[in-house]
Amino acid sequence: MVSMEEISQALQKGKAKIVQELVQQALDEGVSAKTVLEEGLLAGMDVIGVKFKNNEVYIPEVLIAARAMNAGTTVLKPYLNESGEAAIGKAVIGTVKGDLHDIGKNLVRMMLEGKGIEVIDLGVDVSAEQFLDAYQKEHPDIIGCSALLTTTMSEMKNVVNAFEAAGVRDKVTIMIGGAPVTEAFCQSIGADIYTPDAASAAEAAKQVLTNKHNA
Amino acid sequence: METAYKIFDNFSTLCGVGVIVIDKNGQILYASEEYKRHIEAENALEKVFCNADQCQVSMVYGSYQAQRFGGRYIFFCPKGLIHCASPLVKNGEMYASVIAGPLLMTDYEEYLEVDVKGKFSLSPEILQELGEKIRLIPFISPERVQAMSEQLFVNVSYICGETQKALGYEQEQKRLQAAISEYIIKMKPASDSGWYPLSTEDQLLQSMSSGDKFAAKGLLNELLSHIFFHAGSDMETIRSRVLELTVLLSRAAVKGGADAEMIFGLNYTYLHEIESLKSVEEVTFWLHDILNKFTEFVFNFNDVKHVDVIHKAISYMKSNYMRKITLEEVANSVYLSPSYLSTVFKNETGSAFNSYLNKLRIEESKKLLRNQRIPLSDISNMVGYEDQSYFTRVFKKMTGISPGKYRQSHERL
Ligand code: B12
Repeated sequence: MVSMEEISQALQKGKAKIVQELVQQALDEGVSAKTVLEEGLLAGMDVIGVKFKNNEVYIPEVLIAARAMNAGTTVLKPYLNESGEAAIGKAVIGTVKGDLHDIGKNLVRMMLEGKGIEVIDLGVDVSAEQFLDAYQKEHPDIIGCSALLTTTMSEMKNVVNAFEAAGVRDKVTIMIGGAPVTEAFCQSIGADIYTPDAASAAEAAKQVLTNKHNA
Repeated sequence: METAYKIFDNFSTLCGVGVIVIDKNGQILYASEEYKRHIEAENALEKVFCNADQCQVSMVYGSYQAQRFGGRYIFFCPKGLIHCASPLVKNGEMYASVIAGPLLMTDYEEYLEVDVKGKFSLSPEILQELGEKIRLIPFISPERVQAMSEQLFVNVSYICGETQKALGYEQEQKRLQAAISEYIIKMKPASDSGWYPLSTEDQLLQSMSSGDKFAAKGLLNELLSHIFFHAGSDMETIRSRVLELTVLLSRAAVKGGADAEMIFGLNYTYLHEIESLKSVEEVTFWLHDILNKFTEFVFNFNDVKHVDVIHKAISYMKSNYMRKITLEEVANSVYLSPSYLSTVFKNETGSAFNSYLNKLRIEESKKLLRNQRIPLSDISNMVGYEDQSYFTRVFKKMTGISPGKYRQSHERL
């Protein structure tokens, strides 16, 4: 039996290959994808986050842990799929300008896809104009912005403003998230939805689409 | 640039890692011998990844990140190899950048498995070749990479000289924002009723008055997080809360013994600056700057260990400077031996007991001198000097002018 602690440890040491193997093994043994994600991968990332804050580890360790995290989640991906039917809606997501943290955003993407939502991922360091361009091209129902730095959070306001200026603000639901983002912040910049994690983000997104279809 | 290249060459040899200097477009201006040795491996990988352009872009990008985050940055290039960047800066602008790399922090097998085989399907021959070539790239542990990145930054700062201060500012920014983000994350689950913690504010004012800079800074961050948390991105609200805080801080400084005129004078300047603050970062740095200045006026020392004792000693001096006081007497008032107090006093305030007392008296005498109705001859006595000519000498030594001149210069105002 693979223990979640093993996965967490391997992730902390940045052993991407071992993480992938352990994740696969755990899934084969019947552990749920949710458990592997939360108690294995995210738990390991949390430890790294705390150690980083306390100067026990530095950027290089965080870099390889993040790499292992992303490697582990690719294995998880097929298991997060709940629907399998045709796409119920479309979302464009990205990490805002000046910010390169993409682990959280990648998880949100996977969870949305798991709910049967088609996701166009603009990657990291995405400017307000790029979000707007993607909207004009793809006409998604949802725009999702992620920010992990207190100094890039304000970019989200620029995104909202850009959509307002283009006169399409009421055509999309703007969702925001990331560690420093809060409900109060969401309200203050005039975004639509904040949720604290990827699972609740997917729930909320699905709700938005259901309401839209019923309306 | 010759000396600079010599330094990078040494650095490169010492670490066993290649070093290049690139211009703002990513063109290579210089490459160390060590770097040339890895080229074969790079070329072999290039055949598989076919992304030389993207790699070049990532070097430039990494350099800008380095400039933004305190002068150094560690990153993956699109081939999954690690690089450390530090920008060469003149007048706050990057004109070139130094990059140490490529290197690997995970072992060769893992790199091949995850970053190569995981992305491309390759023939056994090519894999065989890559497996050999890749060993030309140095494998270095994360701890050593961190150390290397910091040392590279030191070398670059040495070369750029003047810019180090600016980068120090950015590092300070980074530290402050990290602390604030931590509080926000901590507060989040609670999502409290929105009350601003008045008890924290009280604590902050108390540590200000006692000159405990370290505690004060922590508490200030906590309050700022509350403000940012609840105000979101509404700069108007943030500014008005900051205005309140500034006023409170200035009162606390005065309470702690800082010169009131001085503080309120500063305050006046500061309050005008608030309008120009545009971002959360600026607000944070600005308030910390004020806090630094105010606490310096309360007490001129950094590492406070005997705050309380020194604080008491100083307030004793402040209420008795108008008569003759001795070290013995003050030591008695705080229950310490005179020699011990003398050492601690010097260590903590940076000035000896007597010179501190002189400073205090001279500051007080200035106030009296500005009041034209008090006879000049009375003043030395009123601030505790028995000998008027001694007072004149000390005054002149400290201010550069005589008490009479000082009074005259204030007459005209
Ligand atoms: C991993 C990491 C990195 C990695 C990122 C790798 C990668 N590919 O993403 C690397 C090493 C590159 C990195 C770099 C830096 N980092 Co960093 N990093 C972290 C760390 C340790 C973990 C972040 C993470 O991935 N968490 C796990 C994921 C799953 O959580 P999450 O992102 O919060 O996402 C969840 C929710 O927020 C939500 N969510 C996320 N996005 C969205 C979007 C929507 C729409 C919704 C609804 C929900 C949602 O769902 C997710 C899943 O549940 C944090 C510490 C922390 N406590 O967060 C620091 C942290 C964020 N980093 C920090 C800093 C300072 C930096 C650097 C500036 C350091 C430097 N000098 O180089 C650079 C900045 C680079 C840049 N320009 O962005 C600080 C930020 C402080 C601040 N100013 O706010 C932190 C807080 C660490 C600290 N305590 O100092 N970092």
